[in-house]
Amino acid sequence: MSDFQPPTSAPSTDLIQKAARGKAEAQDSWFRLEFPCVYRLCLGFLADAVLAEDFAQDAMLHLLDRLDRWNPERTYVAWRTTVVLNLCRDGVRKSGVRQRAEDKLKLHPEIHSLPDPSDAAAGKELRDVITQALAQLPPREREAFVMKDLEHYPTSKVASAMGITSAAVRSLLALARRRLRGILGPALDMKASRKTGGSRA
Amino acid sequence: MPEKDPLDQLQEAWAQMDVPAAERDLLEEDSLTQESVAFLQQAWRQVETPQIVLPRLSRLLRILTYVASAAAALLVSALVFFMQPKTPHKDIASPSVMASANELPSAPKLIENNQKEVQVLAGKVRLTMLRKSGISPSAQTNDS
Repeated sequence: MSDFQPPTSAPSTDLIQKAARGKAEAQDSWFRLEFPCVYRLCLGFLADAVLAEDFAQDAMLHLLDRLDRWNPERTYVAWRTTVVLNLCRDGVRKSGVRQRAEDKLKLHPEIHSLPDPSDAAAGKELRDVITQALAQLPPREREAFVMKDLEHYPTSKVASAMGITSAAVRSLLALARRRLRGILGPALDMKASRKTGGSRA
Repeated sequence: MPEKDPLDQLQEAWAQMDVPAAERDLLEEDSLTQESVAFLQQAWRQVETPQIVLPRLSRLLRILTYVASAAAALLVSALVFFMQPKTPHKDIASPSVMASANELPSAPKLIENNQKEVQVLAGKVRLTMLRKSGISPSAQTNDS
């Protein structure tokens, strides 16, 4: 299992407790530290950049209101991820995000070209490819893929956030990865053949 | 040189981090699947975080939005109320309706007033009021 921890993994217990007690400075610090990660989770779960921004802001306030309920015996990241995941699931149910995602799929059934993923200037273009690809995954596969392969959470944490077994996470991941190969594969092939000047087996 | 915003520093650090080594189960997948996942992992590093609205400001914005939407809803309701055509309840209260209600076919007439009952006739309607036994008509009515 990878030991990788994203840079925004978790604020300190002390900071969380101060923020929960309502210390304005601690709340600001907690907000700055947590927002990027919460935003990425929302972006991944919802596969919609505009909605993700709104949901992330709501999720942050929701988390802030409930910080005092966090039990320090439980991993903070797991608790926060579960809260964000449940909020996104509720939001999807209520606001017809799924319908919009399906409509989007009809509009953009295929990804034809891929920007260079190391090009920071292609940020928006890359975000569009990400949301377009993730939107084509069923919600459970998308959730598992975002947490495991994009945010690099340990399988056990993903399983705990989703309320399923680790084996179920692994099978969701395998399905998601193969589906993504189908979505991105042709464009990756085309890109590779342009580089080599021929076609790839 | 101005100091960099901590969020920018965080974003930069995040973007510069190497993608961790693929896990065993991913390595078991075919090369195109691995490439697809690797592409998304690299692209994910470039995702920019939108501007943060700190909690106090965010709450204030929420309250302002709520007040503005409530005011707009009230304004729309008021406009709808004042611009809609006259409704039946208004017609009932209007002077013309009241006047026609007062125009009875004939004035009510007292047709019976005895120990047992009082009868009033107004057009085709006859109203009979029974007296309680033992009460005289003079104590019951103000009729002249």
